[in-house]
Amino acid sequence: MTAPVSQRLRAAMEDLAAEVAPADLNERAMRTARRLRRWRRTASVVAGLAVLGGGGAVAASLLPVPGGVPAASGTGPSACPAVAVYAAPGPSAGTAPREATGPVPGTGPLFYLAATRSSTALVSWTPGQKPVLLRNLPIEALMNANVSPDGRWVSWVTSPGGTLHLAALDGTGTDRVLRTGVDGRLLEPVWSRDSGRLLVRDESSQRVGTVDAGTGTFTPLPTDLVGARHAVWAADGSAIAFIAPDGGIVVARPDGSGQRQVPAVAAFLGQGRKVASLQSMSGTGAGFASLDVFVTAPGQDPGGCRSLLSNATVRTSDGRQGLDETQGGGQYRAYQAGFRGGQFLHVDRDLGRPHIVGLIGANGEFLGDADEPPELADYLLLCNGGGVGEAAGTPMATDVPPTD
Amino acid sequence: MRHIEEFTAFARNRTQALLRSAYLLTGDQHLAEDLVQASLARTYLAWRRLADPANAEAYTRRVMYRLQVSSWRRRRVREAVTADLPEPRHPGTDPTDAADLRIALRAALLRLPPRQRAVLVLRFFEDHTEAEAADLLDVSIGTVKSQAARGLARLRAIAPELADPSTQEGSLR
Repeated sequence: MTAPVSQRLRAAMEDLAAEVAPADLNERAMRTARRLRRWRRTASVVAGLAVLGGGGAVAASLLPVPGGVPAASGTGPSACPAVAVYAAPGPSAGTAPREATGPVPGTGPLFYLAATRSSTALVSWTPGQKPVLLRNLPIEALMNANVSPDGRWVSWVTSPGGTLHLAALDGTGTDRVLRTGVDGRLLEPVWSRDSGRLLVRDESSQRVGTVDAGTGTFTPLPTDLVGARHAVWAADGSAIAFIAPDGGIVVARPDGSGQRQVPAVAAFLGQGRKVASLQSMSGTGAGFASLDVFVTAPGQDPGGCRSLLSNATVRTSDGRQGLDETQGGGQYRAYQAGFRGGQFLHVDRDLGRPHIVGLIGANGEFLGDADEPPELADYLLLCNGGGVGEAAGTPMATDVPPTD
Repeated sequence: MRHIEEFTAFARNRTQALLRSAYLLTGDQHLAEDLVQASLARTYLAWRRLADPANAEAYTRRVMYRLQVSSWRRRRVREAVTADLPEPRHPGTDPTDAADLRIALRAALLRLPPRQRAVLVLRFFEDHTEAEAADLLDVSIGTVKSQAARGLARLRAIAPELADPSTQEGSLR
């Protein structure tokens, strides 16, 4: 590369580097340092026990298991080789000991999206198997594609005209246009838990409602979700959550009634942060649901499209945070996470570690994990949909959309 | 607790500069913060051993790059196992202005092997000599040379707009 090109590269790098938002890492670094110090002491003790003999069991219980996701309380440093620690949502989070490492039990295929040069690749991966490229979607599908909970259908919206497409993932090659005039930018169509309907906004009426996946018929909700963005269904289908025009999180019944604010947002706003997108919501069997969300850093622009990252979990009842990037000094961050039925699925994409998909039970117990194939590192896990019924061990839906 | 005050002053003054390099290395705000945070933590632990606090930034940068190197080494074998999947690229890039060029550069950097990415950042962003880059990465000068050459060649292939002055001259600041 010639000298002028080097100068252009340097200028482009400076331009790119200027994107990084300011952050005060002093406190976080000092907390990390304290954890590092503790880990080093622990490691030295464990090593001593191992050398002396008879300490193998102790060492095995304290040292990291390669490729594993320990379930423990609190959080741990990301770059430290000790333990990646997980604080699961819910009142009993993070109290269970780590169990055996192995493929995630009962996990059906996971679905991932990534933009390629000219399209959006939809990939499925079942732990223990190789990823499979299912199909290429239009590039804009990255912002609105979703896979049905039964894993049999993918929907996406193209513009102009807001065309809602539906395609089978069973190899039959069945594609069809389900409806036009659908909002694919702010309220990406999201599947109901029975895989029979999609929650959409009809652009002509500006009403939020459901589209029957078999007939394409639009039925507005009895109570509209005015200005809703990035909606999610609860894992058991018992509620809908969305981002309101004022930036708050609102939870409603599936018919739109009973809308109420989740108090977490005030705390986020107090920190100068905003909820940019909702990723998934647990069932409401406990009397409340937990929402997996992506919250911006202070001063960060939430942007106009959905984010497939998540970094905080909040309870809909009181806004309590069960998992937050700031816990433990920001050392642990679940880059992608979602609720699958009664269980919590997360991808640990922590710095310097192999990516791991872990499954956490409703009570915080560790159920299993699997190494995510490295080629999926830059793919986005679709948390709000595909395979939920299988992962949760619940019966698969039978009222799937008919084929043409 | 003078060392805490000194470290705090250092961290507050230099975090942004460190983040800029970390951002180029990781391509992600959160990963960059993680990397700088982990590096600062190690600097804090070593603070009393540093003969002169003025060396703190050099020490932190050395730690930062080596943390990256160590993570690459851990992942190297895993990364060799690839499936026939398309490589992700940021969508909608129309390289006609500086913003799109940033996107193109980020996408291109992230498609480089991390070692090549680090060498390019050290050489062309931080203006280190080959010898200094080799020292920071704990590799030979020959490795730095070869990685830089391969990295630039790959950048040319991945993002021609970064290397073609006839088409992109006006889009660079």
